[in-house]
Amino acid sequence: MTLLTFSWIDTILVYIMFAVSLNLLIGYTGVFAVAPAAFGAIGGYSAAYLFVNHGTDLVIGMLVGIVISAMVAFLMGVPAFRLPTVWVILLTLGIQQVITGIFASINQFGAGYGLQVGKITFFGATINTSTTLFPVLLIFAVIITLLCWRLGESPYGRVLRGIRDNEQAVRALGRPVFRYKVAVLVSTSVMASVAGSMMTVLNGVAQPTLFSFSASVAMISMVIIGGRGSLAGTLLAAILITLLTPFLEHVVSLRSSIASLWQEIIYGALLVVIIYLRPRGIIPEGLIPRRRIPLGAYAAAESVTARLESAAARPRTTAIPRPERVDLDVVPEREVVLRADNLYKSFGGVHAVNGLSFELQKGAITALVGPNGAGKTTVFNLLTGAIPVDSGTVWLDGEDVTGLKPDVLARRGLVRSFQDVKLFGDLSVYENVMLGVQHHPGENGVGLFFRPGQSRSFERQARERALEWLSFVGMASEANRTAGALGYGQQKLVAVARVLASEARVLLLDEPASGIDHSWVDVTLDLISEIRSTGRTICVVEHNLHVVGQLADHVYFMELGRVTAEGGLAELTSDPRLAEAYFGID
Amino acid sequence: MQVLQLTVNGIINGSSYALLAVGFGLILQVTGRFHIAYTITYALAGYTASRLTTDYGASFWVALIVGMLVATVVGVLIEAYIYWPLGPRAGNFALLAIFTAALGLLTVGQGALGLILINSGTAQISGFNIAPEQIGQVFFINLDVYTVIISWALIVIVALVLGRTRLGRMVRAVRSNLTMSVAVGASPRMIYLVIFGIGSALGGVGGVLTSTKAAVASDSGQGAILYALTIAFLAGTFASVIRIAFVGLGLGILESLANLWVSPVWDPVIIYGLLLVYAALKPFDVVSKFRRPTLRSASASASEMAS
Repeated sequence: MTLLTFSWIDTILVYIMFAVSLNLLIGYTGVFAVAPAAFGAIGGYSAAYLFVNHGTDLVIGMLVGIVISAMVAFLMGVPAFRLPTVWVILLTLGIQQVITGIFASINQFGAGYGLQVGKITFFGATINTSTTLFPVLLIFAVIITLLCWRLGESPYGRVLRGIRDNEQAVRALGRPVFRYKVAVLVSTSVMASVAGSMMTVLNGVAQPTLFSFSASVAMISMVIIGGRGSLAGTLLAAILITLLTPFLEHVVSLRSSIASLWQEIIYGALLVVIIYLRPRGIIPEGLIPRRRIPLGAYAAAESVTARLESAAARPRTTAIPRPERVDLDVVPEREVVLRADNLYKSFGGVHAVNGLSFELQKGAITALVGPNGAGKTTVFNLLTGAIPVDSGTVWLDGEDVTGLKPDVLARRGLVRSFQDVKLFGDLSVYENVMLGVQHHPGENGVGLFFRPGQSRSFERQARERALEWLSFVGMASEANRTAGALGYGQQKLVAVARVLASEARVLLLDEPASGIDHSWVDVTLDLISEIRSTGRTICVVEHNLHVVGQLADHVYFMELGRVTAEGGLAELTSDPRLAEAYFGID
Repeated sequence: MQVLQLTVNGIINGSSYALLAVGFGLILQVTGRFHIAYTITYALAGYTASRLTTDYGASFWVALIVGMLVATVVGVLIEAYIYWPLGPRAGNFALLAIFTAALGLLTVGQGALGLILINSGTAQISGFNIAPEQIGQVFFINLDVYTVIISWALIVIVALVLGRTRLGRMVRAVRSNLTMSVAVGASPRMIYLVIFGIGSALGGVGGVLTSTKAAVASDSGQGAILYALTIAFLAGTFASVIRIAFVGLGLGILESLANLWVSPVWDPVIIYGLLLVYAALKPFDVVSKFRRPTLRSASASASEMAS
């Protein structure tokens, strides 16, 4: 019975606040920030300092803590999220040390002893026992859990899970990854600050040890052991880990100081064992399945299997019927949608792109071919802003878009696919394609919380569009499967559907036919031809000259980072010098 | 005169930071592991040395060597039985999985050491006669002299081994391109173990030297190791051993001289503030704009781009 006193239940509720909010950051977004306790300290000390020195209500202290935490998180997140992952870990470690160090060293904050709060008022009512604190904590724990659930299990959360799986792909689909990360860090820190205020009230003191690095590790353990991205898992782990101490004290009869050390040893060891044997945690994300969508009429749509059978039945010598080619020589005044002028990009002493110029004409398929190392994929990276150009200009619809980020360009209608597919393996097939759909009001906090009706309505439309595009590529019947469970050929088709769902006018397809067998190649060729017939402008980087020959209206030949020839494929391959450069033969 | 005293203090502290930063930096650079459990090897070396000198009457020098060996063995075992098998299992998430495991190890180690210290009482290294020294108006203790000499001697030895020997070439090959290094006869697993051995040995020496001044605690070295991480990052993830060491020394001096204006309480704020400023400027690549392009910087740019 002593195990579940109000005091321990209150402690569990406080740790639930910390853990579920941290789960949003680590579990859903994949950002490994290690300073939740430091933000708790800001909230805890703000409440304690204002109460002790000015007798202010807990609400005022909490609000001040929220504002300071948000500012600190923002100032830390802005540089950290422009750098590789290890920097985020390092900077949050630093913040943890600085914040607790400041509170532990300054006399006004009670230095090592902390600030005693005793009786504190909350909206005018005095809170001085664990019993009176319980309803307050319960309300806050429920609010924070519901907030995290709403954020995580919504279109907003889908973007976060996409960022966790592959942020480059999310950016290429038009989502400002950097802003999402900063927003989630700030939100998490604000919730941690509230939890910290409650921690202070619960303990009657704001003390450095309550918010130490060890406390942060305990909170991280709750997320990892419970299961990253699993709300149920996090709740369970928060309860179990918190109850370890009273269990060791009252059931195993250990002294309080020894019990807390054993608690550390146990959850530390569990952390190692879980990450080794069950890296997705005790209740993995997906164990409680997310909603399956009804396929309706799409269940009967032509599947990719039928397409494959049709492709296999077709004699290899028979030409595939395709929409009419665009003869660029006959229609020279055709509108230029995208133009690259004199692009340069060097990595140290290596000139990857060296004065490249080319253009994409509206409604045509243009191919970039060339030997390995010619710089073709780097060109895609430069056009989409994934890496900055050293010099040169990119024009999209006559507008200079040089230096714009991939998400901005994607929203302006320039979207790419990746050679290695980059599907979001933990998301379902339809969720992958829904991430292609642009301008979802539920993907920002304002739309999600203040225009829920609009968000729900758009979600239904987005789901319908995702199914349409999945049907287009013959994958509608697989919509509810996890994308990571698909075969490589199927993944390539889903990636095409995802790009199409963006409704972009210009598509850059990086080796769409690589790594798949002949039947799949034919299916892919059919698809790309059909996409051209919808009036979109397509640029393909491809090694398979059969594919280029079947598809391309115009071909640019690249060597050493620049275009050295252009024209039709037959014309280019008949040039002995180019053939030697490409195939390495005379 | 105060400036001179603070500079000397800075050199002493900076030498310790340099030693730890080289140890941590080597592990980070070559293996890519964010080995925060480095703190445990540090504390364990100090604790072992304290037990040897107080319970078994071992001399300080024997305790220093044994402490270093214990740290080396623990570091190598961690890499061999925890990190290495975890890497392939975690795939793209290896960095975070290994960091999580390191956090777990750190927690277990600190908890276990805490339990031991509760039962056995304070642990401090005896057998070294700490004596005050004075040159002009500058004061320090004899242990500080040993700390500076030992730290820099070890740093120079590691730099020579990495720069002038076949082992060093193999290490650089593994660091530059793991896959290709196999083609030239390197064994990445062996190199990783060697690097963990060297890095942990340096941390062990640091742990023993520090524990001679102050009692071992369960969180011994946490602050110093976090400084070491900071220095390793400030120096750059492709920096040479000597560069890391000099950044450590510089940071030690800067931290000390800052006490002309602010209380030592603010030291961590200054150090991590510097880190934040550096991090804020890093995306704009301010430093490299003043460097000539080299093949190594090309390889570094490509790796950073890939990450």
